[in-house]
Amino acid sequence: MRTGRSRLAAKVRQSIEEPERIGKLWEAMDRARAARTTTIEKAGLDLPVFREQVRSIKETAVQDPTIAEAFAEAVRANGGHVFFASTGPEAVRYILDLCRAEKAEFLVKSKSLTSEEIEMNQGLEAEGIRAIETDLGELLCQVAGEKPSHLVMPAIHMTSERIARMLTEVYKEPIAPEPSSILSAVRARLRPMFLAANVGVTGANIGVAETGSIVVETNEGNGRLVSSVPRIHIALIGLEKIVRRWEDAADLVRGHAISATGQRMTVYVSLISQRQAVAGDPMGREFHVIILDNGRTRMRADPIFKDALNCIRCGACMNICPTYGVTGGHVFGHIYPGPIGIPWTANVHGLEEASFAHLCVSCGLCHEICPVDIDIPFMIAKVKEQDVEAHGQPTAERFFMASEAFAKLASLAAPLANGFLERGPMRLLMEWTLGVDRRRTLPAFTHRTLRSRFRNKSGGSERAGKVAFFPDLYAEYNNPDLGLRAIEILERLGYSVMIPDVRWSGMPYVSYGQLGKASKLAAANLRVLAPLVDQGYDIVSTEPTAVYMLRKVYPKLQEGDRAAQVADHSRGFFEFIERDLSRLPLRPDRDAAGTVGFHIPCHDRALSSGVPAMRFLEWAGYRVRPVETGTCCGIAGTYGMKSGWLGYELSMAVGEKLFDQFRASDCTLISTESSRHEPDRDRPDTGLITTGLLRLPRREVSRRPDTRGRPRAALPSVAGSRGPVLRRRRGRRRGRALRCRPPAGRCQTKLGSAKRST
Amino acid sequence: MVILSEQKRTDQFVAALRELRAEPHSVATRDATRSTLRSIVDGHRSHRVVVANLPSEFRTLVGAALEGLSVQFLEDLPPKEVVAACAAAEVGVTWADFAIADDGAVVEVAHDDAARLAASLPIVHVILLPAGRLVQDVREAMARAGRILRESGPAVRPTITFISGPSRTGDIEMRLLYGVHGPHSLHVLLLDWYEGR
Repeated sequence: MRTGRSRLAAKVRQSIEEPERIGKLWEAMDRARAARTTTIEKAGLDLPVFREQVRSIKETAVQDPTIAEAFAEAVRANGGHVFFASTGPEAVRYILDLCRAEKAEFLVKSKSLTSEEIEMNQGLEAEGIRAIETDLGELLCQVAGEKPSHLVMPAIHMTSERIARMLTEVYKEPIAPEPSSILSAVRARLRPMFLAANVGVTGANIGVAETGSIVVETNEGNGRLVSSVPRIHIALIGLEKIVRRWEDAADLVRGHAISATGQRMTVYVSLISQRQAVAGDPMGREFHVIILDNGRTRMRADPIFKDALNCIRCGACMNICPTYGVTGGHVFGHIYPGPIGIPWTANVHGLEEASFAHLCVSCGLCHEICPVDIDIPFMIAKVKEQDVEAHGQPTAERFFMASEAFAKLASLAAPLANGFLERGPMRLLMEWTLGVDRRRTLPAFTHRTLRSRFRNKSGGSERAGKVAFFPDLYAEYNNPDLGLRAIEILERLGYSVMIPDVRWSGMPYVSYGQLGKASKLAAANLRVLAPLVDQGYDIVSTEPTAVYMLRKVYPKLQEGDRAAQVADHSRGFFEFIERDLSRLPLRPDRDAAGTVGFHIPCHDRALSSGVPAMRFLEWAGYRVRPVETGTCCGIAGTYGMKSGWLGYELSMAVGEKLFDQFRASDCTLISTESSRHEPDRDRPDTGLITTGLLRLPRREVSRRPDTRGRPRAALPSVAGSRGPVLRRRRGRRRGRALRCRPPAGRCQTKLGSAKRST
Repeated sequence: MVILSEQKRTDQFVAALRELRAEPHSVATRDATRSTLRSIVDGHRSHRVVVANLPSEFRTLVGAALEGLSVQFLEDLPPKEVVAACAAAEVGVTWADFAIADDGAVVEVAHDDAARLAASLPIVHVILLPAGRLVQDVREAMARAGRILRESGPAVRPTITFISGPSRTGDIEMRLLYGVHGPHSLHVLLLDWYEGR
């Protein structure tokens, strides 16, 4: 562990301390996501329906064991040659033999991730044959001797100045640092290569079995030249890319381009079935298709990793990954970068290369954006599990996985424990021994837990229904007021409420790769919850992560009807009461003033994207606007509380981007739905994000220079979470109408962007 | 899917082409085709033109339009000279079998690579598209391409390419640049007067 993780930590440090190295990346990701959203809107694409279609196409094809043979047979019928390569070296050997027979000293290739997977260029070079990348970005990486840093934008880490300097040296002619000059120089340099090449290698985005064809998608037109000029065209295709019919290909073509760059489709979509004659002369031209296994058949048999085979290589997951965005593909990747790169690397390059899995903060956004609905986070959790089995687990992670026991203990010892935990020597000790960063404020614990105060004495009728309230740790041990407020509102709406005898939801088990423990916990909670669902209860929680676990993760941990039923009946508090807002016997406060900048919790993106919570705030009288970078806040539950580069520092690098947005916004309050950590007095921004929704006190924020010595703009005050002050008034409804008075604010909002990044 | 009238569909296609930075030219007559073609080639100050994959009746038309320039019909050349001819030419003129209204993509069906070379190597690509050959979206287009490929039978299947605008890249600092390896300019001539072969 020490070596893998500490090497990773060193790389993270380097990329965070030299932000100019990957400075363009975040911006590029932003633009790619924005372009994707625009195109989806313009094309009128019904995203959930589209995802379902793409998923069904891929799933059917990937699980069909006869599809590759059918494809191969059709290629041969067209006059092509087929080679099944079970490993990378076998594929490289085949290409090498073709080059030797052709007496070729070099070959031209268009972009092919599969060729990178098998390190084809290196394999050929070792035998004296040059493989010339012709995709501009790939070529730049090749000349620089660097790995691509992004799946779709390989050279996004290079500035035009650097490129011009590099090419001036290599081409031995002056090239101006203008993108257009660079382009002309490359075009002029590569053209003779295209014309002289006898062997061309392309990848294939899709294989179509019915006619033995491949689909090659490029923007630059290099794929066209590579497949038309040389006498020999070799196409390298992963086993998982083959589909049955042409009708299946349309959605994939669209899915690739929209998710990758926001194009409707790439500039050139070539449907190639065989070589064509030139001016009527077949010229002995050859078409070779290499079908690569390299671990794919094994993946197909794995209940968890088979999902990775559904990947269409669009790169959307890395465009939304918060920690990828601040570290880049050289850190967050081996050959396959980004979130989906983790299961792929573990399976085709081995676990040792996949230690970058620990950069994943388990925000789950990669799953939400994936056009094939691949549960990438779950596969990453599996890789983490394998890694900690092999290399051990850091203390901090073990500590956070013991959060439930710790919370019980701390709550027993409160308020004494709080004094200890607040600061000082105890925190220093905790950092040294447990790896919990002392700059993070731990939430205060209370002796009077939610259960002890509530005692299942529901005052509500069953008029509207029955609710089992799932407190999770925060509402139970830290902020029972929050739970009681929520329960009170539910009762006023006519629900009878009880607190079932459940444990916590257990997200850290998933985040830190203890799926066995997660699974046991899920089983225990489901044993309690499933019978309640049978009795007509809905399960409601104020903790988005708990709802995420119940709805999205438990069904993966525990297969069967039980988990599915519980998932179907679990809701976030605000989503649950959304439709009842108008009949809530509370009155918005006239004094509510201010604009609430709302941060959408990552896990809620998979649920309701914070929309019901924002509606609630508006209803309470605030002006609300989502303030978001489109990815995560960085703290990710407990990840940002760990000390070091794979914890606090990484989370702050992600967080900075969001803090900037809050500073630039006109909001006077900040709120979110998740459990919170009180902001630290010295570093107000550190605990900024995971703030409870219901209490909104004003809190002035001091000005203090940031780590790099720049004066920091004041941040808006942070909204805490004691709940809107519900003031009882003598009134109409049974004499107990309540007045809802969250402090400060008039509301008016734009919810439009709330769903932006999902 | 919304079924649009022919005119609306054409308008949509033309708008989509412009968005891709392709240049649409609607031509109503045979004469207009000639003059438009000539003005495109002259506009690029080009002299060497390669032509491929056209219906035979268009060979005369193109030949007449480009009189006085170096025009090579690739199918007439010795096969070994085709690549060099395309590499030397500034303009390639080829044929589109149909196009996709939603996406502004023209579809090239090539039974001979002369077509692909003429469309890829020169810096300017002019593609002729009979009007009324618009399908609505990529699904319809893919179904149609699939039908062509199935019906051609093994060993004589064409290479079909959906072309959406000129060659482009965003690989340098995400700045959009045209004409990387393929054409810098794509002109689409919508032949209103021609129903097809």
